Amino acid sequence: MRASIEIKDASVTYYLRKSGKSDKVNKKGSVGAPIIVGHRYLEVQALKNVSLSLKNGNRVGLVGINGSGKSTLLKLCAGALAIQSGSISVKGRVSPQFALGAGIKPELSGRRNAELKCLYMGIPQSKVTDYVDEVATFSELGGYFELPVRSYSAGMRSRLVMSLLRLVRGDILIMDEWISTTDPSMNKTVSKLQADLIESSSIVIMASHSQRVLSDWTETLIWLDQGEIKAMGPVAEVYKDYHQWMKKRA
Amino acid sequence: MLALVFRPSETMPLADFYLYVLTGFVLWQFIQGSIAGSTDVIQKKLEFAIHNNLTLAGLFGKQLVDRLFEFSINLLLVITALVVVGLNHVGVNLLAFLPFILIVAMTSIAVAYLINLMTVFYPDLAELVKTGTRFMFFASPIFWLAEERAGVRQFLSSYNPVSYYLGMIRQVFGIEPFSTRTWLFTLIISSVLCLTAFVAYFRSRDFVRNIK
Repeated sequence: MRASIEIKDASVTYYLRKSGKSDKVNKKGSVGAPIIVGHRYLEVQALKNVSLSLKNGNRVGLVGINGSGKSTLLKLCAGALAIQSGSISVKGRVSPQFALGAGIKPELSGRRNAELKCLYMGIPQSKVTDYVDEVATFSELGGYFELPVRSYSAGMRSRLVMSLLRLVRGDILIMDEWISTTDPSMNKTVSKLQADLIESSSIVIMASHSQRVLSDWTETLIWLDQGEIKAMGPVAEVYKDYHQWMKKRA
Repeated sequence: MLALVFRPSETMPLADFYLYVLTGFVLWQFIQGSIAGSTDVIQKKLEFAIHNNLTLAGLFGKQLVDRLFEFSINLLLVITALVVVGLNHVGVNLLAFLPFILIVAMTSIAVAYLINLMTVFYPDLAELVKTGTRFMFFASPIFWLAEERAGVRQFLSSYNPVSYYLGMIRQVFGIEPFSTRTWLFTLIISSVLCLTAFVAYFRSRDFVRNIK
């Protein structure tokens, strides 16, 4: 399947209900887009006139300070947010991986979560048991695989989530920066898993602050600032500019 | 058990009253789930849905399937009770089960979206909806008979839409005589709700995702 993402002059605004006094929200901070006080809502214009065209084979990284619009752009591509102006067209099955633990149910066991994931990913019922056993082996959680996820430590949870990535099926892989924050004991297996996942995806969009992660997994880097694309190009070049800008800013 | 604890109707045998309460209570749980269980779907479950390749409509569809699953488990209890104490009730009315479940399912998803939309725009409504649902339980003919209507009960039987849906399931299982009026009223109420939800969905499906 030919996957593609076409975004033209897209602007995205978040709306937050006003509560209490809203006169202090106009105070300018060092991060994030300005907050506009509307009639009923506080409006945060997280993306402004962003245009982007991605086709099969594109591996794109996103970089920028907190509140620059990286997660908003990822969520927009995943369909979790809508545009207020401009247009967006996404072709292909999107596989979003926004945050560690998103998409799993804490009250269910690792096994039940794996079974659910299989069903959501469209894996035939007859193969679910095999896939789930594979996840159990890969995660090395032992008996904990049968316990509710809420009883897991952070490391155990990341092992489960990483192992569940084996079940991910998608043309467009969208990853937020959590991907590099796994248990060091899993680094080798996770790197292999990430490589397989990225290899099998037609388009990859990944947000990260790590130059190593961005250089390893992406070819093009988009630098976002205040919801706008400040620069776009080869990872090394754009990251260098970003790094210098960060130094000056500090 | 509650059917036995509450004062049984004087115009209905105990076994029939038990079936009357059981069918009403089973459908009520489904109705309650559709209303009170839908106050935070978008707010709390959309991200989970997106991670699992579900759209906004798919998320509400999944919620409906979950409710229908629970409903079907409860229906097994109704069927068991019918076999044990009221097999004589089962008849040709059972053919109406398919249209009944279609009407109920469509209405459930429509109500769920409308309730959720209201609580997205007015979060304080969530508590009001939950309290209102508890009130509606007593205002609906679940433990009292719609036939024995007089005064307030008459008013509630006529103007509480839930009473028509409760009448429908009881008619399907032969606990009440078939009434065209009941089906006509539920069809009208469901059509209005579904149409409203349909328009609301297409007008809000984009904007609603950006409200935090």
